[in-house]
Amino acid sequence: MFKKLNQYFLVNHPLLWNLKLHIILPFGILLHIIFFLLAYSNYNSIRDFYDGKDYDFFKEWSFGIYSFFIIAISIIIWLLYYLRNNAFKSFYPVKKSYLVKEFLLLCVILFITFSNMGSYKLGKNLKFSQLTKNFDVKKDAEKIAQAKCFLVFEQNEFEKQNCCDSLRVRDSINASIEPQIPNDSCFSEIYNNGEYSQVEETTSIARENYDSSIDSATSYFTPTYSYLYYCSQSNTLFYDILTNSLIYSQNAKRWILNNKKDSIKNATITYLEVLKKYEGNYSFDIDKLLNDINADEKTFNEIMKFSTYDYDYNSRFVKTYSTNDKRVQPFIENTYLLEMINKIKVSRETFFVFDTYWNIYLYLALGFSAFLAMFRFTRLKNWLISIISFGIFCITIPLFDQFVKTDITATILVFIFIAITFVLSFVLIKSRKKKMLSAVFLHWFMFSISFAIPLAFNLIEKFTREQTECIKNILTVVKKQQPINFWINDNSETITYINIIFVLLIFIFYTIPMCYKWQSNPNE
Amino acid sequence: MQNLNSKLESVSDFFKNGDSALGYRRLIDCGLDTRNIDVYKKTLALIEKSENENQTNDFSEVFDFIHSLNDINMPASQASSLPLLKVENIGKQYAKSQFKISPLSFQLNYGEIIGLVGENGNGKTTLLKLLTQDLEADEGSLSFNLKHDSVFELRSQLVYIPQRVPKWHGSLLDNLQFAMAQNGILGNDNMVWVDMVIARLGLRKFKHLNWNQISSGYRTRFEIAKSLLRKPKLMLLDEPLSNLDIISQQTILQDLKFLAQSESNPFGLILSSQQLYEVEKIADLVIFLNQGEAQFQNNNAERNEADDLIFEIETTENRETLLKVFETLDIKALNFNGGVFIAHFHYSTKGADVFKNIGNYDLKLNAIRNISQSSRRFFIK
Repeated sequence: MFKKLNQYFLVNHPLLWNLKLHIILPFGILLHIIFFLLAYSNYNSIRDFYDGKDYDFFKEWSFGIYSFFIIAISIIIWLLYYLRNNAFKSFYPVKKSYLVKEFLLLCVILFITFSNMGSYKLGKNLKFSQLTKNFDVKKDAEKIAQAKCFLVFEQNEFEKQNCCDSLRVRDSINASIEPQIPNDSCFSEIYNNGEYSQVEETTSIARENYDSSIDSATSYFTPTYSYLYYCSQSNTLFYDILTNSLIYSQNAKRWILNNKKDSIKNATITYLEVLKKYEGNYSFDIDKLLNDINADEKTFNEIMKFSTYDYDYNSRFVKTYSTNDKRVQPFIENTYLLEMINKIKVSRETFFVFDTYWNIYLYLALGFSAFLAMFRFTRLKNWLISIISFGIFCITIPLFDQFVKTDITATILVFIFIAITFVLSFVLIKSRKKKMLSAVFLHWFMFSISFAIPLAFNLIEKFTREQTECIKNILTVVKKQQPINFWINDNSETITYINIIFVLLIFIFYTIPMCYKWQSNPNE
Repeated sequence: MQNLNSKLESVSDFFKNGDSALGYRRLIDCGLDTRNIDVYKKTLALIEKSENENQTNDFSEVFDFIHSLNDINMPASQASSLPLLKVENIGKQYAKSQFKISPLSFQLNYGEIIGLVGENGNGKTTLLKLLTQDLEADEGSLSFNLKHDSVFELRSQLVYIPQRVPKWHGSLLDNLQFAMAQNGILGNDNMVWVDMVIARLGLRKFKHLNWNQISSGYRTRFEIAKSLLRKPKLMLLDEPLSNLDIISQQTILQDLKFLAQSESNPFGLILSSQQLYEVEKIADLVIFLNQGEAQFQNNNAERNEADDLIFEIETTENRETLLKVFETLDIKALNFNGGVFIAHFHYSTKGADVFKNIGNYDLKLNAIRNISQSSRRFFIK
């Protein structure tokens, strides 16, 4: 059967036979199916998807290592067969389109071979989506948000000066430390000129200013803690799930003030049920919680003073993760729960909770195909000289960059290099002179052109962004940006795909015709 | 070039005279000339049958087949009446050494063979590489009467077999079928065509073997088979005989001559060799290269008056004895060269008189050859 198939490809499709497509393609697809099924069958409960779980980490890494070895062995064996025949170098009557086909098929083969883990992730995503399809994330988020008002995970969530109802206090802190004067002209330009956009960033300088202001301010305030001050920053995770996140802290305060112990207890039990549904663990005494809530402020403050890093074992802080240390009590796997809720949310939006990295495999496949094709279409000696010399060039560029202290110079240098290699490879090959040198220039051009698009966007980004940073307030600065800057920042993946297509087109419409011409040029 | 009918007549004669080995080889040539797959299949069936029935003298089926071929429509010849290759004052100087090929001119027609001879390091391989465009000439021009849109296309019609045959991987059959498929002959036709060429070059027993399992002589045959499948217009062979025994040398050269003179698909052939006399037997023109300088020996030309009558004599006798033998003849020089005597006689001397004197004297003779029109005379120092 296999012999017949092999014979069929040999006498009917010599290129496919030479590429061993009839072997490597089914083998590659089979591996994809196996990896997909392995992932699908290995994740049997929602907890298996927890990133913090050692089991999943090692399982995925072990698959990654298996995948690497399978890829390496497959590629080596395949290359041994593929490199046996070379119709182009033997001057068989082939057209340029033959080389294009060969290159594109190389891309397909290498993409399929490299991307086993993509199918693994696909299986993982599918299983996750199936296991979580009945989960009502919105309802669960509501239950979590309500119960969290009574669970002391974070000290500052119950801190008077940091809580939502104490904004007035915070304003007084800000007012007392004289923040740096904002640049008014900068602000007016940003807000009035429709051409400009803005981005807010917390810079290290602003952060330092803020921290120092807080330090000086807190010396006048003794922190006070109470369940009544609850204001969770971590609810931001649910902002797009919950319709009104403030309602939960208001409810909590009302229940505490009105001594609604049953409501608090029910909310906490409901939360723990949600946690259980998500296969999370806990060790938590609800009655103790109710006692804490009823403790006087002085006692509660004493409890809260323990640092999360310097706890004693009787601390009432609730750990957000499970631990093997049985002395640590209590704990509720809240981190786990939030991660799972977030994953389900992403899964509902994009399906791909676990990144399949198809674009990276595509990049790898294209890069390796280009390397391999250059080796196939030119000569080993030229190929090796080009790779070694280009490697040396790549090392010297950052050194030069350090010397001139500007990254724009290095980028421009790369563009000059691309232009020179393009011109020299074109002129020498067309004039049928210096066969070896022309091949080296062609290789260099091909290697360096793959950086052209990312570097071009980088250069545009640098030239269009104004360097002045206007301080908006104590925490944020404003960097003026053109719309193109936003586009570049938001579309890094699109730029990757543009680059892949660009390199592909350059290879098909410039490199391959040049290789075709080069091959027939006389030796020196 | 012979037409198919006269070729078939000579094939019949081979069989009638019991020379079936040559007969079958020539029959395959005739079959290949038809470019008809059914004919190929019938030819292969006959060959297979002959291999199974050892030493039979019943060739009735063969004669029937030959008879049927007489009526077959021949495809149009792919040859042109214009010269296939015109070389005009082509020369090359190596930058790093003093060696140079001095300008030389010649032309080659379809079906013709040019032999390149000369001692080692005198430019034979360089000249072949110039002709295949693998090296660029410093001066002169090359023109090929071949359709092409690019230099690559031109070079794909020129088949060059280097002296050291490059190693191949996999079986001989796979490699040949790959070469054929790359040349556009696919499917069942591919297999039949390859089988024909395998049979033609006597490789049937070896077709499933690989590089390590066959001798260097058969590797050369394999390379020739592969080249033939590419339907070359110009074939350039660098020392193809170096790995072959004397019988194989003669067979291969004779086969190449037949194949080059194919009626439907003739090609030009240029080969370099040290086997001077073997090459002279088949070549239309012999080019002798000495330190890059070319001297030409046209084997179809008449000897002119300026040329001496030259004999190469291998004998155990000494110079004095030989001078005595030829004292009645107008001998101009007698040199001892390469273990043999070279005797130069005046143009008017007749070869028959030379033999008569040798006979009269009863000279102890190992070998004698008239090299007046052989490029062997160029080797005399």
